[in-house]
Amino acid sequence: MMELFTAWVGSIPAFAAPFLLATAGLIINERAGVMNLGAEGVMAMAAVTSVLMEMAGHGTALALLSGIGAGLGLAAIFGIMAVFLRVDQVLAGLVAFALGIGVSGFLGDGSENQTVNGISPPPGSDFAFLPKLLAGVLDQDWLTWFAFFAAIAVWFIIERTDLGLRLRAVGEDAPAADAAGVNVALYRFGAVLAGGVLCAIAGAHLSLVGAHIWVDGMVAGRGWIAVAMVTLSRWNALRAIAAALLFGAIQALVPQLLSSGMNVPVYFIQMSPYLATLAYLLIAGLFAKGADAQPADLGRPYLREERR
Amino acid sequence: MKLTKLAGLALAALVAAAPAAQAQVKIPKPKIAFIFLGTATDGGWSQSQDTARLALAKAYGKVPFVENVPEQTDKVEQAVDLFISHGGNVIIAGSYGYSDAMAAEAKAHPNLAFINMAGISSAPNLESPYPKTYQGWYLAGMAAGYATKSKQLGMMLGFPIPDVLWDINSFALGAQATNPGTIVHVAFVNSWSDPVKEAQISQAMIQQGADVIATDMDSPAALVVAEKAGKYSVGYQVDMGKSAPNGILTSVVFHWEKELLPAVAAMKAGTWKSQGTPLYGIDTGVVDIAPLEHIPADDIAKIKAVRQKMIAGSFDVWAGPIKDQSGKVEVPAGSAPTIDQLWNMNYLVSNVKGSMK
Repeated sequence: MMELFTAWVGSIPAFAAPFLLATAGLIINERAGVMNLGAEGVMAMAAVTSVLMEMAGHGTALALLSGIGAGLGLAAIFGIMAVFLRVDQVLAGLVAFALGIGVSGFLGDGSENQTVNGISPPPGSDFAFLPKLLAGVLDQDWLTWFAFFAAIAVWFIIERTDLGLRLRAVGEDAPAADAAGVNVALYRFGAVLAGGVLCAIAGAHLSLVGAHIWVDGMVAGRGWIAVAMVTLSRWNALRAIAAALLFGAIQALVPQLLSSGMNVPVYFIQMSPYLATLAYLLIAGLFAKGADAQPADLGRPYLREERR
Repeated sequence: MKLTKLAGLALAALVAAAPAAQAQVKIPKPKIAFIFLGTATDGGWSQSQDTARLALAKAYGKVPFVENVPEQTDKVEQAVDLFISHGGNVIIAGSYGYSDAMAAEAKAHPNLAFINMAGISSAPNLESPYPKTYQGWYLAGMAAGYATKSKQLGMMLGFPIPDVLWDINSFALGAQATNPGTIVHVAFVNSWSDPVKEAQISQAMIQQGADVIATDMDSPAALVVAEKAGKYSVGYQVDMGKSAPNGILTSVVFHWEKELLPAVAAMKAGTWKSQGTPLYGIDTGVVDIAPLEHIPADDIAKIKAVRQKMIAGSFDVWAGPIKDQSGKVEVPAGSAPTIDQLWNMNYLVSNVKGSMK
């Protein structure tokens, strides 16, 4: 039983990491007032590109960078539509989603189910001197470690720096920010790109760390779950860590229980993500503070001459 | 198990509805078309069917195909109608979920021939063949039994439907035969392809002591994890040896062309008759195992001897006594289930650990 528990706790961070990366990326988007529904597409582009590059023999680091580049390209297309052309953000996001899924399937055609080396935790334990449970939690691959540091960095930049203050101003009240001399379009586009990088790394995490292969449709709705997790974590990257860990914990429990030979109903597997969402909503609801955390200008394109 | 019952009922209804004397369909000039669930190069399910398509193309000229057709009746019918409007007269599809659409199309076009690999519907001009995958999985189970040191195996599968349940059950019976006391941990992924989840389940099974990981899924993701952990593995559908060169024992593989080439030849000759939902065994070559590796030569010889007996028809995987997890006798000693009973399988054998509900 203790072994099951240790194995479960140790597997949580790797489960949580892709959700955390994508959620942190989307928080940057939404705090600047841009609703980005294209995360699933960006993740797929990064997942396929990084596998293709590694298959071509370019090494994992370059593969990851190319994946980020591909995701960034799609994020830029979305950003140009949503920020500069002021297309309805929901529509622009859905376009980016469909484009990413379609192009990734096209690029990966003929390269499905082919194994790459990818990224794995270091062999043996670096933390063998610690208690087994703690060592299990700390023995992660470097991309999973990065996810947690990235989320903390996102929180710090948004909440504790001038850059973050301006970003939040753009998301809360774009005309006021503009009047104060903040370049709204530039900040929003920058937020889309920065968020795109994190969503792309989330996608690369799925293919390089998670599966070590590419399969069409392998993101399997994880980008959409990240969109929901932004709301659940109330646009706060630190709360996103808690949300991702809770979500990862429930997701990680299922394979452990299944392989332990316990009688877990198959329907429990289907139910578990929603159960996690429900649990988090409950917790979030119980501890919610008065004000609504949603950025006031979320989803509203900004045009200086427009009457509001 | 609702799904199983539904599938069983549907099958029974279709078998009952099929006319006793089945008309022959003659296709003097076969124009073949394929409908795939995945992409033709998916490295698994659809690719194994594409191999058959290429073999047919060699014999009958170009064979057009459409990929990624979802298991929705209207989408499948659109694809079929498109091929028929271009003169196609032999429509070959490849998914359980196409069964209803193929039945409807076969009824609407009684003079054309339809084959749906892994389907459950049939008509005088529609056949739904499936390989006796349990023969391959039994042999793979024997190999896993020889290889395991912890006496714990892990196997992941899509959904608990009869033709998936017989994969896990035969794998467990094979392991039991060569290494009594071996248990198989089972996990249903609840999807035909979710490589991230497959890798996670594989990892969890290894952490809990399994030293052979078998996958009944489309992707080799589970095998990659086993390979990295220095464990053995068994692949499925195509030879997955490339994904786990140091640990793979074998793969249970499909050779659909060995069924489809004779079928189309018979259509051309005017002697083809739908067999309903026939099972093609290892004697026809439609199912087989990839070369055995990483176990001692005398063990390989013993497995090959059983394979030969299967081909000769003197070895039945399901020969009783077979008990389920609760100890209930499902197949009494001295008997063997009929094909109908196999298609209604709804239990896990006694050395499988885990639930299918």
